[in-house]
Amino acid sequence: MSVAGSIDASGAHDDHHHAHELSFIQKYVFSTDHKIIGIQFMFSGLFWLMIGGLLALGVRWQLAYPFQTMPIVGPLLFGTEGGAISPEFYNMLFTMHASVMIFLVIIPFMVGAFANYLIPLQIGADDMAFPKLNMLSYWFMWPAFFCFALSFFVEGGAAQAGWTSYPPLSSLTWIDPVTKAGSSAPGAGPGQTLWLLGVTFAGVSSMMGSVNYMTTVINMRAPGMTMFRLPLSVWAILITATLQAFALPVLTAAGFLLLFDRTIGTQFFIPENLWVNGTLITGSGASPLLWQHLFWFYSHPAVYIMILPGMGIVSEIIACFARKPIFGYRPMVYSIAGIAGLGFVVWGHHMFISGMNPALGLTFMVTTIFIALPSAIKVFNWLGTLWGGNLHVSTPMLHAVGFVSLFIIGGLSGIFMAATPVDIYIHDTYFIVAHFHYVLAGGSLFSIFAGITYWFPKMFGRMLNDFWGKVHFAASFIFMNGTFFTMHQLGAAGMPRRLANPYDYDYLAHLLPMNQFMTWSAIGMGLAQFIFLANIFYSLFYGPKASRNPWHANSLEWLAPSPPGHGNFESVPVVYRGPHEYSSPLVKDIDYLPQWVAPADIAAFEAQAKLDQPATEPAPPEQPSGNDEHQA
Amino acid sequence: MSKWAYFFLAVPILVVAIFGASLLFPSLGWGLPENVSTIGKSIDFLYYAILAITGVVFVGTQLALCWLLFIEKGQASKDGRGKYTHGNHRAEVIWTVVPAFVLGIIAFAQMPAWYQARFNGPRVDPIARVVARQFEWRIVYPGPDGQYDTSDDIHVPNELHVPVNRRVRIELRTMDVLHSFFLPHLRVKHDAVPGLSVPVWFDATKTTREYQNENAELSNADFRAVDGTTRLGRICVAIDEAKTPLTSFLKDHLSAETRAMLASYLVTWNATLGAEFEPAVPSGLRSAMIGELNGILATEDLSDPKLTEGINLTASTTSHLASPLGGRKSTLLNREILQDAFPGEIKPLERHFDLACAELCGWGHYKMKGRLIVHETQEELDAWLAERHAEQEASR
Ligand code: HEM
Ligand SMILES: [Cu+2]
Ligand SMILES: [Cu+2]
Repeated sequence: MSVAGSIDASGAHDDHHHAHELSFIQKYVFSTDHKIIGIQFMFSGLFWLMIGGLLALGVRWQLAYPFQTMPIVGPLLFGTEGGAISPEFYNMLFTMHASVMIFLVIIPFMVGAFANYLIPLQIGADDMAFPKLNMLSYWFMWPAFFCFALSFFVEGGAAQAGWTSYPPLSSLTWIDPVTKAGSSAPGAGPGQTLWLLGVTFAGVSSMMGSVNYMTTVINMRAPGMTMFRLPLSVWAILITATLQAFALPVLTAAGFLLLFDRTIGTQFFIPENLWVNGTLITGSGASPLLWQHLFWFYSHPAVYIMILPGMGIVSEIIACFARKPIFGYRPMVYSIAGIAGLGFVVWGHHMFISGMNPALGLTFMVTTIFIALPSAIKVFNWLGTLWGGNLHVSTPMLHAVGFVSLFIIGGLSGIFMAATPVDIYIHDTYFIVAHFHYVLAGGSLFSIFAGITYWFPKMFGRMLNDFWGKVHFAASFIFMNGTFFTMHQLGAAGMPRRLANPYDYDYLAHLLPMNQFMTWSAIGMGLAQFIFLANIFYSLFYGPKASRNPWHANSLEWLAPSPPGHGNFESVPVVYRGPHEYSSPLVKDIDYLPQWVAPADIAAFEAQAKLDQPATEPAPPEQPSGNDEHQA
Repeated sequence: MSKWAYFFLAVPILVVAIFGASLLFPSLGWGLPENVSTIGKSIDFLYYAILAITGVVFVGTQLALCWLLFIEKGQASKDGRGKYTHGNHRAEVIWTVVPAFVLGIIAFAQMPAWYQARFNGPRVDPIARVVARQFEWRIVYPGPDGQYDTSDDIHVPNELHVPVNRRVRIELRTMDVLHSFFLPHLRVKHDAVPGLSVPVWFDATKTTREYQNENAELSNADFRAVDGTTRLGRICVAIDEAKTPLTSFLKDHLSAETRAMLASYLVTWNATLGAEFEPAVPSGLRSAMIGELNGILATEDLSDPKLTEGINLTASTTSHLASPLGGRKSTLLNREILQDAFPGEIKPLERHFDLACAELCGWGHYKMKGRLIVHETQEELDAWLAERHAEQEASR
């Protein structure tokens, strides 16, 4: 997969250097190469994405056909239950769906896969500051994978207390010591302990990554790469890493406290006079609200950890395919920072009606309302970037535009919930579920799709199929809206989340057909992902070879060969300008001016790029049909 | 991207259509359910106001997005290039200040409603204590002596009775995990937190009777729509309301199998009530039912597989019997079985103001169903309470 021989706009021709030969294991398994580690994160993320998706379909099945036999899998999984999902299994499904998606898919994708792959390449470094630590950060995910996977097979099954794991439901086993039956929460047994361990391991992994990313971005930028010449993706990851570094310890500490409550008999979250299976236990008088504070102190920033890198990715992609500099680069950076800063003082919006002092609720309301502001600024700047652009249709661009469209919905629904009186009514209803699926499944997931399709040529040296990429996009987008939009209606109608059978309530019985429609959309969304996977695996081996810079983009990773060898660049790049100099007046015949081209070499670069274009770009994938002609 | 502009245009069109339908056709039940409280009015107002504001922003940004995709090459890019600009200071200022202003208004406009809902409670004694537990609501009235935790406390499972048009206060507690007290029609919700006693207040502006009269037709439709399954809890209520003597009813109408299932449910129910709350079973009828069913249980062996043979159980009912946790899942019964067991007796249930649990509390979270009964007058409520008190005394 070497690009030796291909003549490239970069003008760099030497074979990339191999310091020494590495064994297969060193090279692809216990690798310290940031690119391999990024790709490892990516493939394990894709694997868990499928698991998480299956769990979600289980949830959706129950909501559409409550307590009815599940076709095919039902009899296999729940033979004793007549093939129907039991209520405790249902609780396990949504708990593990959310936990897998958040801790094993989206966070590792954003700060594992993309951060790893992109940081050194985009700042012009040969690797991370601490390659071994980087390797460890991936391998610490495996105990997390193991704990989560194992928990499905222990007595009582995997965790069932929701991804938020509020005590006391999560802090006691709730199993009657005598009869072993009558447990009010069967998953609160070993499954819950494994959940906590898994989350802790994932946290350790994130922490290692985060320290590494901050150090690398601050210390290892190529000559000329000032902070305000960093691509927005790097800015977003840097700020995300900072968020993580300050928020994560709180969750880890809280996790240990809960673990102690469960295992060695401490009572950090166990209140006084609690009835457990009909017996009174005297607790320490601690407050279960403490967990909520600690949990959300991390998990609110965590929702931004899950979206900020996506915003960075989308910004890069939109600038590239609009062939325009990003509109308002600095406001973009400031609003990322603003979101991150405010993100530390809004956690209480998850607790408006939890019993927290209502005066505190008021302050959290104000901060929360205002966190919508930087989000809005970002949306306006993306629109500003599209304005006057010379837009190119491509799979990454479609995903990026889809991201903007869906994120608008998720951001706006946040305002309803930030309004404390309205939140009294919609808290813990499907309105919340709609909100966070628009930002996470609509936002984060689509930015992941955008990122994969955009950097795939760099990662693997081959192009993805653009036609099937678009089919995947269109199907995902349609089914995503079909699955999640009407959740707003369910929420407005007052349907609480996490009910195994909402239709028992008179005021919800009529919502069954709507839920059935949503379930079928979800199945469609799941099926659409097979197109994506097939495209990835087919193109990995048979896709057309990619040139170094197939999208004619400006940031440094496009200087390196596709895929970059060990050490990334043939020689240390020097940076002369910002990352979004598309359609720069300094070049006449091409519409991009990469960061690495010295002012003196611009004419030569331009001549070379014009020459190369036909040769290095066999049927540019961004131009599938005659309608979309562009690029001189 | 012109073609794709139409694709993305579907988003605002469908969203407006769905929200439009929700607003224009309340009978679809896609929007806020009927509101019957004063605080609910302010909440609904805020909801609609925010819907209007965000709706404008939503339609504006989505149309802008589609328009930008539609023009595709931009006027400035006739030369096949993008417009070379890094932004515009004035634009940034405008789209920072204007949204900040609007958001500020939203922040201030909601403060009075929050004050009403969470600060300005009525200075009255709590009308009742609502104690949540896995998986039911135990409502405790202070009884004739006006004191809680005395022997004349009146216990009512899953039914909170209040007078109409009066701001009442309840004391919200939980015996075990977190629960959340949710009255959707009153826009009231608050978590029940172990170790805390939370004051919650509200007024109901419509009586249950009015509500039922207005929704009589709906109830019938609903019952049929509930997808072949219904709750045993409902049957108990139906019997209760039919005032059929339970003993004869069971003997006459129930097959051994169904009796067994019924028994298993009630036994777990009974068992979880615990000794402390034993006298709490409010209505004589229900106590009798439990006694009777305990009797039945003594003679029927639930684990006998023969019991379940020969009857057409749905998957869910089989699973209830087969589950290691025993009859606790028998709360769901197939409607056909029920109609077999209760020919002509099952009547459509009347609509009520539901009381739901909105915080995950264990496997039975979904069945923590209660109701709010709004009486026409305080006297009516007092009379009802006196009746419960008398029943309770009698069953001692
Ligand atoms: C525009 C800015 C946003 C505002 C004003 C906002 C506001 C809120 C509020 C008030 C809640 C709590 C609602 C409740 O439980 O009653 C909430 C929940 C949530 N938000 Fe946001 N949000 C915003 C953006 C985001 C973003 C960007 C993400 C993630 C990428 C996100 C993810 C979530 C999640 C996951 C929850 C629910 C957690 C749970 O209860 O399980 N939000 N949001
Ligand atoms: Cu939050
Ligand atoms: Cu509950």
